[in-house]
Amino acid sequence: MSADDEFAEFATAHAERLRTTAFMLCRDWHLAQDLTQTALTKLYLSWRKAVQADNLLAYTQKILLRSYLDHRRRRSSTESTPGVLAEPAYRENPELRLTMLDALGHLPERDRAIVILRYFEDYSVEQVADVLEVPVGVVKSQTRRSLSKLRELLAADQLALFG
Amino acid sequence: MTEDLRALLRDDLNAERPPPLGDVVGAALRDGKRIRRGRRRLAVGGGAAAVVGVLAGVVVVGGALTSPAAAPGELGGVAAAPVPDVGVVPGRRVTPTVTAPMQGGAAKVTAPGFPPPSVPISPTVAASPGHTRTLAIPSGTLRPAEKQKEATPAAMAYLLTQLLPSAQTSSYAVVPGGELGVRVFIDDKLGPGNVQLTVARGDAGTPRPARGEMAKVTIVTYAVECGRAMSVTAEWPDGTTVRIDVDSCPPPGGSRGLPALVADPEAAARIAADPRWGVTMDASLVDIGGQRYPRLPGLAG
Repeated sequence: MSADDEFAEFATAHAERLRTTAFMLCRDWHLAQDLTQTALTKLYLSWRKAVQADNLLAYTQKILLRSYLDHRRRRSSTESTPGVLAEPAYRENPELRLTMLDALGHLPERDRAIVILRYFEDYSVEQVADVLEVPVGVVKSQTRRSLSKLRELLAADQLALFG
Repeated sequence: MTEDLRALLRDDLNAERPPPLGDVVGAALRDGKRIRRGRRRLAVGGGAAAVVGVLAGVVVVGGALTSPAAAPGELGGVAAAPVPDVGVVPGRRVTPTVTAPMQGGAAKVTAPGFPPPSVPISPTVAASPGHTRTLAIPSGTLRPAEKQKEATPAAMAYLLTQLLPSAQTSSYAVVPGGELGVRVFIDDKLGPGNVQLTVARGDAGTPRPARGEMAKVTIVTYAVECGRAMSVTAEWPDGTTVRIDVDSCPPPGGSRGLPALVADPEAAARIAADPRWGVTMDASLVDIGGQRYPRLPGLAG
């Protein structure tokens, strides 16, 4: 099997999952698709090195996350986040119930990535620290802070699930 | 707790209606191969430049050391090595066959937030011309399908955003110098850049011929790290000239490169040769453009 075939097989098997991760990060399916394609293109370009990684999917997730964070950095000077805009309406009307995805949208990009990697992708603290290239202590403290923020935002019945 | 959180996220995801995934794998393969080809070309070009540089050094040093009787083309009696032909002919200046030069120097911003500072627009032609290709692209139409109105930068911005392949666009602005044109910042999956599109109609003789079926499209790509990356000019028999200039300064570190449009000049050629460009455009484009971009900022020249 050629390197291209190996890449295509891996990418086909994981593209949907990568897009889902990207969607949880950005809450936009079209952007998620673009980010997935960007990540796969970068993976293809570094395929020879990538296949030597212990966990190829984690390696690809790392590329995806960096693509997303790069995208946000470029956009951050001109955009306001939907979370900041949505919060006042939610505060004024307690009947409105945020979904978990909505609540994640209120977290800063890196914190959102930490929660997704820790609690959806089931990465260890060390793996998250490696992917995001931050110290383990930062992952731990940011995780605590993010969970606390999510508790603030979510309705009582949802809170009971991870209280 | 982990399972609970994951279950909440799964519930939310199950409630989503994602669009079909599409051929992201095929697209990634195509883009990746295209980038690899570009890198190889750059490497070959860089190697050739190094060879030329070394030879030039040898000529200078050798010229000082050898006798005045040495024959031309020889260095102290040793024949000069041939320079490999990699598409760049030393000493030959490559210019687009039709010019619609941009006015002024590097763009000075008048609109807030435009353009991103890392991507300047170069004045006229880049310093190191690269490869030139000429294509003939059929328009597929002899006359406009719709009633025509005088073209506006807003209509051009609207049509350009419709034609650019999967790029995010922002910072639309009218080009300086009184030309009919628009400038747009694009950021696609490969890299950022500024795209400037201008339309002009020169003297095509009297009586003016019909628009015609075939556009002559000239693509010039430049091997520069930062600045003018590509110019594409489409000429129509009626004297209409459509020119696209792409400038880019990829951030250092190699994580991002030139916009995909530069890696795919045929796509840029198809955009330039779209028969809807002109000093008059379809009324619907002008109307929609006016609604979408009612107040396009101008750039100082």
